[in-house]
Amino acid sequence: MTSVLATYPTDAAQNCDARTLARLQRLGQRVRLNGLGHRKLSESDTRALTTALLRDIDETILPRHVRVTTNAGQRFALDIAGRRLLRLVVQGSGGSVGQPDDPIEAAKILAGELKRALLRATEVTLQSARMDSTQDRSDVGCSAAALAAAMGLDLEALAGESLSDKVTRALARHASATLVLDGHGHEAQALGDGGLTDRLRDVAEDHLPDIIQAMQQTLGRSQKSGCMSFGADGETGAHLLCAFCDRNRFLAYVDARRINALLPVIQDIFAQ
Amino acid sequence: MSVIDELDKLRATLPGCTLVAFGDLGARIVLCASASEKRPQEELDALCKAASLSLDGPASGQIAPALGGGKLAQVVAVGSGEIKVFLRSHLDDCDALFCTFTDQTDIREMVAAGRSTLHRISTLQ
Repeated sequence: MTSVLATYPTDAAQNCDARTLARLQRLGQRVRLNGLGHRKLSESDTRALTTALLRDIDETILPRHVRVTTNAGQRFALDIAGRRLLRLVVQGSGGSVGQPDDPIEAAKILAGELKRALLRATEVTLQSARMDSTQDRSDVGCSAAALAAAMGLDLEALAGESLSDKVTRALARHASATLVLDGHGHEAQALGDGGLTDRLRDVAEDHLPDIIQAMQQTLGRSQKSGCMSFGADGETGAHLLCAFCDRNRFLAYVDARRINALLPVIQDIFAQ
Repeated sequence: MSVIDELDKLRATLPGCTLVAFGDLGARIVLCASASEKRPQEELDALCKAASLSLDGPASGQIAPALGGGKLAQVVAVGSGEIKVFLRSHLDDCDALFCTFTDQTDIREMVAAGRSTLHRISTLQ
């Protein structure tokens, strides 16, 4: 295994921003060189593996033909160029995915094919070869970002980030206001609308023990992490979201119009 | 369609849905339940107690007005391996639906389908 960090100048590594450093660490941890042209991507579950593969596509500019073998026994080939998946051919299927005119439809079809190809896989071996680069392929297939959106995946999510980081990022994106409390109940961070964070401080001061009791009764005392959203009405008003993980507690106001966007993210973070 | 038919239908519609129960928040009892496997009464009682505490507990009276409503109408709880949804009927404050499901089920679909089922059940009575 080759560590990218090991070959990266120490001073430069220390000076680069946290995001770049995390990306380098991720590459060092997750990508194993396995002979010339062969690489392995290994993750804890299929969803994480799919995200890793999409990141790989997103980082591929020059045209490549990539043969993929999964540890679940599937074999397929990907044509990639300009951060786009141009074509996916599953071995034995005898053909490739068609190209509808609508880019959203194209993303949905390719996403479905990729999902089936990666079924039950947690590791893939990638064998890359160069492809002819003279053709303009900007209208063929779809971008890695569009594929990720069609599959409900977040390419920006950093591998190795803590549960608290994930929750904070999700709430920063979807909540109107967020209050993060440390393990002692002290305020660690406040995000969003000032008036609403003041209200969250009042909720924390007056009602946190009652909310925790309701969460313990509902989720069980043995849970190390969990989340509950309380809504006055499903379609109007706001939702109060309470979560706990990594010794932190989170209180957030979420507009009713945003709750449907946040719930799948919360489900993804806490229900695993 | 009877209440149990409605509950069975809802559970069959959503993959990963393990339990759907209709109960009375005031009396804190489950009146009817549809489950993938038989559940002990204690488990149903605990679920009803949790729903009552979440929707009508000490904090709810203060939280609900701040959220723009008179009473809490919807609670979603997500923990490792299991998700619970508690819905209060808009027609009768005491009518509620309690659902448990695995992460195979889309919470949004569960809430929307559960809300429709609860409305039909409250209308039946």
